This record gives sequence, structure tokens and C-alpha cells, in this order.
Amino acid sequence: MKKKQQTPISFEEAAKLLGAERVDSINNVSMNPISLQVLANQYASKIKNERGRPSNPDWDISRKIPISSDNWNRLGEISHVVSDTYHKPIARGQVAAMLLEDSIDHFDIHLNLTRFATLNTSTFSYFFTPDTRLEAAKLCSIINHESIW
Amino acid sequence: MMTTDTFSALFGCEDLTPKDQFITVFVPSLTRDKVPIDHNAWKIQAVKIMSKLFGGSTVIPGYGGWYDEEDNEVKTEDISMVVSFISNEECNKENMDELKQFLHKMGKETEQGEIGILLGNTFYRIREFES
Repeated sequence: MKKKQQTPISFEEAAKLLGAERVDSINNVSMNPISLQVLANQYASKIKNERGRPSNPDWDISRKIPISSDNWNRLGEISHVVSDTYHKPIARGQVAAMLLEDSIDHFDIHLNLTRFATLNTSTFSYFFTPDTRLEAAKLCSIINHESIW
Repeated sequence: MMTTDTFSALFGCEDLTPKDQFITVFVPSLTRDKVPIDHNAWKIQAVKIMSKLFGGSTVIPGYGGWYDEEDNEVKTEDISMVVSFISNEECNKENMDELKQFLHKMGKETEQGEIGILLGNTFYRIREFES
């Protein structure tokens, strides 16, 4: 028997219906449980312990990258989970490097161009802050060799 | 450039409403006072209810902890994460009402301090369990 069509609700409304209170959100990064497990497996297979702290031999450049203190703390939480799961210590800087490499590997410019182009519509404005939309527009302009200024 | 629609056609996927969000339920193995519960039975119940509501579910075993503010203690245990990918349409009042019944029942009968769930990328906790 076909189910009666129901009106979709947002996750916030769903949480209220479930009687749940929000704790935290991880924005702009796909950190669902499956991705976390994949990340942990990637770490276990790539990291080598030769001298001192374990590291990835492919990392041959070191650069300073700005980050918020909130995200730095979250990286610490993630490094604890991965370290405990595989009984190998991993520093939050290494987790950050792995996430960055993975994001770059899977970043598809053309697919995301379409997303960025629609960021200004009301549909997507719910999910992105004005700062994020501005950064997306800048990226879009660089890719298209255009200036938005 | 391959799009998801192209991949779907190549793999012979059905043209269904996209399921691009997920719900995760954390199934515990201990009560708040660290007494073992029938984790397997609750895990199976979670799989059945979430598969019924959202078309399918997957169990990922794990080990985790949570900070009990009342006891000022971090409590650790083996857990199972039951994950379902859902569509916009499946995130509706009827499904949430049925899921709520299960979550609150699990929280109450297994004497939890809180039940954790992930809705998309946001973590929520249920601390007050209704009868």
C-alpha cells in the first residue's frame, strides 16, 4: 500500500518533534559517521611511524593555514577518536592535513560552480552565511577569470 | 564531466527521489550506571524501525564516551551507530513521531542519561524521556 504523501520538515523541526536539544554542528564539512570511519581507516593505512611522530611521507610542504579556535578544538576531538580507535597517536595538525587533502582530492570545480552560482537564491541562503556566499563568489570569479569588484 | 545523474544511468539506478541527508542513532550498551543492556536487541530494533521509515539502515560499530554532568564523569562504552540516508520527503512529522516513540522507549527502558542522534551534520541529544 502506497504511503500517504507527507509534508517535509526541516531537521530543526524534526529535532523538536523528537524532543531533542541541539548540541553542536559541524558546518561545511561532511563528517557523517561513515566519513569518519573512512578517515580513520585512511589514517591507519597511510601513517608511518619511523622517527618521532607518525606522519604521511607524501607531505613534503609545510604551510601556515589560518583556522578558527572552535575548529581547532574540534580537530582535537576528532584526533582523540581516531587515536583511541586505532591505538596510534595522531595530532590535530595531522588530522587537519588529512581532511584538507581529502577535500581537495574530491573537490569538483565544475559541480561546485553550479552550487556557487545558485548560492544567492533564497533556497540556499538558509544554509550559507553571507561571508560564505561572498567567499564562494570570489572563488567563482577566480575560476571564471572574472572580477566581481 | 560526469554528473550523479550520468552515474545513475550507467549503473542502472532507479530514478528515485535523492537521499542526500542522513539520520544516525547511537545505540548504547550500558545504562547510565554502567550496567550492561541487551545491546544487540536494541540495535536490531533500531535497524528495523529505521529501515521501515527510511528504506534502509546500516550499522557501524564504535566505541565512545559522553560527559555526564550530574556525575561529573566521562562514561565510555561500546556503541552501534545506525545510519539511514533519507530524502527531504522522508523527513516528515509522521516518520519523526514513530522514530520518537522508539528513541524515548530506548532511553527510558535502558536507563540512559541521554540518547544521541545526528540529523545531518548536527548532533542532538534527548535527555527527557516521555512515557
